[in-house]
Amino acid sequence: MNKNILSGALISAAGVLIAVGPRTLFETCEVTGHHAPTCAATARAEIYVGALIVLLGVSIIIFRASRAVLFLNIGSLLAGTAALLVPTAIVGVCSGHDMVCRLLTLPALIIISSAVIAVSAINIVLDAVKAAGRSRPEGAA
Amino acid sequence: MKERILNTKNIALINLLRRPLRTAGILSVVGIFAFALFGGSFVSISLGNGLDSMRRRLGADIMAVPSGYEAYAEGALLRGEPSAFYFSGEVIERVGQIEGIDTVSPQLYIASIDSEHCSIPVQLIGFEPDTDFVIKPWIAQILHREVNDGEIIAGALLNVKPGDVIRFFNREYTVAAKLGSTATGFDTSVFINMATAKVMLDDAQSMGYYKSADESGDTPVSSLMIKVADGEDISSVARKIRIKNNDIAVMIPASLFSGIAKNLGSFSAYVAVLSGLLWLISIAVLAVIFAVSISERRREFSVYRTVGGTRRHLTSLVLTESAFISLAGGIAGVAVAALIVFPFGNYISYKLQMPFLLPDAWQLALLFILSLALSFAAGPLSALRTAIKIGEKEAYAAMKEGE
Repeated sequence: MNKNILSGALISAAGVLIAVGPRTLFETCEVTGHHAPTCAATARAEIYVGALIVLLGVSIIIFRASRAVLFLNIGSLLAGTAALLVPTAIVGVCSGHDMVCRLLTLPALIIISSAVIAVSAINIVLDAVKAAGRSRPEGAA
Repeated sequence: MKERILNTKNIALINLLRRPLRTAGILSVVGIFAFALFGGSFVSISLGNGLDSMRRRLGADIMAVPSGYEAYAEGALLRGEPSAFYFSGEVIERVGQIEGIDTVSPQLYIASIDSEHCSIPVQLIGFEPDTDFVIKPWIAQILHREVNDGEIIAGALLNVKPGDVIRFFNREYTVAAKLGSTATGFDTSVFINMATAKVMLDDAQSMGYYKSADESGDTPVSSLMIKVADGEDISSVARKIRIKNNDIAVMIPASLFSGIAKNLGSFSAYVAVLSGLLWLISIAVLAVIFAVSISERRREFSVYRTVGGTRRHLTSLVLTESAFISLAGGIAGVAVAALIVFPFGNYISYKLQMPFLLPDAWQLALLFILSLALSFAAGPLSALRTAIKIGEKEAYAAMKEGE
């Protein structure tokens, strides 16, 4: 399978999880019935970031043969970083140690956004190596 | 093109990479076993550590609380749920006179409030330094002096550090030390000596909180930690306390633990049986897969024999392929399990309602090595019979078979 199809699919899947996960699989306190403005704001922000990551992932699949893939991977790396920073630094989650957003939502978002960053970074490195190999003169050792 | 020596290792790797789907399928069988073994054992060990920690921390033989407040006391101890309940201080002497009791030490619980009057909402536990035998030994491991008036000892999960100043009921207190993790409600509690606790309760009551119905003037207490005299039966002493005091409910911490220990025992047994079954199933499934796969590759192996490969080379090749797959599967399974149990350990504890304390470095290393070793062994064990039989046919006959 083409590397870009696989990585685009993984990034898209991660984007879906980031967007809808805080309201479904790894729900925030608000979803479980508590008044929790902080993690609710995180969940709302992650919908937009997640949607952006899905868009970038699908674009990587569509434009897999084009040179734009490098920029799309850079974009998904930045979007993954944003997804990581929203619950950890920018907005945050509830402060109580036993709140479900801290126990479940936060670690889930950290792992998934780290995966987006890792996949994008690997793609960027592989594309850079490939580009360097192409630019070497023919017959050179 | 990069040159590569055609030794057994490299040929095995080339063979595996040439058929990625087949390799991934076999690898996933080993990975599932490694995942179940590492993940299940990790959770089991962590729950066991949590239970041991709880036993060490709740050192009293009997705990006496106001009648009707047993559930609140249990919540405060096991889960750190802030609670405040009181009975009159004269109960200390009343209980102390009961036959069979060695030591009675009072504790005072205050729940800080979620407002501008208090920095953080926590359970505050006042202990009597002269008689305490539960909290003092534990604090002494971190703080090698008495806890002074106006000082607090913070539990492991509180976001403070020694030297910080935090406010409770509009009065400031200095953090003297921070305790290690215990997997009990103590991790989110704050410990103060009784003199500090009395001042704090007065401050709270002056704001309208925790008004005591008792007009005797004795400083109220929330619970009594009781040590039974040597040779005395704990249940008998508990019964005596209950009979002679209608306003007191008696809890025996060992009974709290026995329920948790029973659940943990069942869970651990389940993990062990499941892991054993999965290992056997993995070997059986891999044996079938290897047998079918190698049967399909008989012409390939015949070619190896024709160009000079011996029977021993073929056996070594098959075993090397199986070893690579099982090692990769083991590493993948353990990695995925670690990715789940480390970040979500506290959530597992929350859902199971059982104390959870991560394994120490030695336990972790042993678990990692054991999981990898068993996963690694599954591959070559399952491929052994097929690997030995591989070279039995003559090369030409094997190549022409089926034509």
